[in-house]
Amino acid sequence: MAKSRSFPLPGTQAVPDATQAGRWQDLGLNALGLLTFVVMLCGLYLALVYAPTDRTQGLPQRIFYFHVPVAWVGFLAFFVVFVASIVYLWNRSATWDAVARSSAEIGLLFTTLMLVTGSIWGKPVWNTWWSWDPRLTTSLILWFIYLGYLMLRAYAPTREQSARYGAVLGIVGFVDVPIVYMATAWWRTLHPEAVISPGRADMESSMLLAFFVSLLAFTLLYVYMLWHRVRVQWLQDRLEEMQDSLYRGGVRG
Amino acid sequence: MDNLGYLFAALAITWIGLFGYMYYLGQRVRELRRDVGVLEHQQAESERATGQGR
Repeated sequence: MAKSRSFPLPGTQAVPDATQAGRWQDLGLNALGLLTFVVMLCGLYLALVYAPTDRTQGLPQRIFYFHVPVAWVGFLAFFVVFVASIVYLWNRSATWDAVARSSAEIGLLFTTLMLVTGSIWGKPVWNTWWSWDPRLTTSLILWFIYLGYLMLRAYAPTREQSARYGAVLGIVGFVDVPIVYMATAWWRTLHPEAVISPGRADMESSMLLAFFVSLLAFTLLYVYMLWHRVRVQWLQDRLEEMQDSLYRGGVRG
Repeated sequence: MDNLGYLFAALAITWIGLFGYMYYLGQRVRELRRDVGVLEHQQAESERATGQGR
């Protein structure tokens, strides 16, 4: 009787004991999830209870402890897309392609949350939900760039073209990230300049603590989500490979 | 909407978005694992049939 052919995960060597490796992965993912949960709880307490209320803006200012970290994670996610895209074009590894695509999806989610929380914060402070100022406009452009990336990946004619065209857009699209970040320094904007930058922090220490814990929590959440999403992509790629193989073998499902 | 309402809205949308996405990922993993299992079974059946036909 012919031995069942194993299907190694795309971009990896065949795993001699896939079950053991899978168990370690699950363990690692659960540990990361638990750590993320604990740090996030601490961040919520610090942001909503411990940090003092801003004298000028009042309660809406606390949106800062979520709005800035989600923006940061969005930028980080697109940086990962940028790096993974370069590596993919260099070695054509399916794993790096999976990382790029997964990070773009998560980055789009966080950029959406950045725009929405920013809009909600803007209403009581600026008396408007939206303004076409440089920071907000370039952020919206960033959102469209990565929406376009995901649509390109979904509708490309072949998987190889999807990966290749996506990698090019993932590299070119990242140009907007520093533009968004520097918009408040380069142009006159409604959006305030960064209150925290290397070597400078115009905030009370308790507010700084709340901010950095929240930032850590959302960064851990991003890593956790990325790990999960890459697993989904691996499973999807494996499923497609198996479907192709079965159809070539003439088996009807 | 008062000041607390804005804060609540921002938090609610953030957490609904994040939990919604995590739920979606969990569902996808379950579906894909099930589909991969089905195809692995089909492949094993196919190889068994091919082996028997020789």
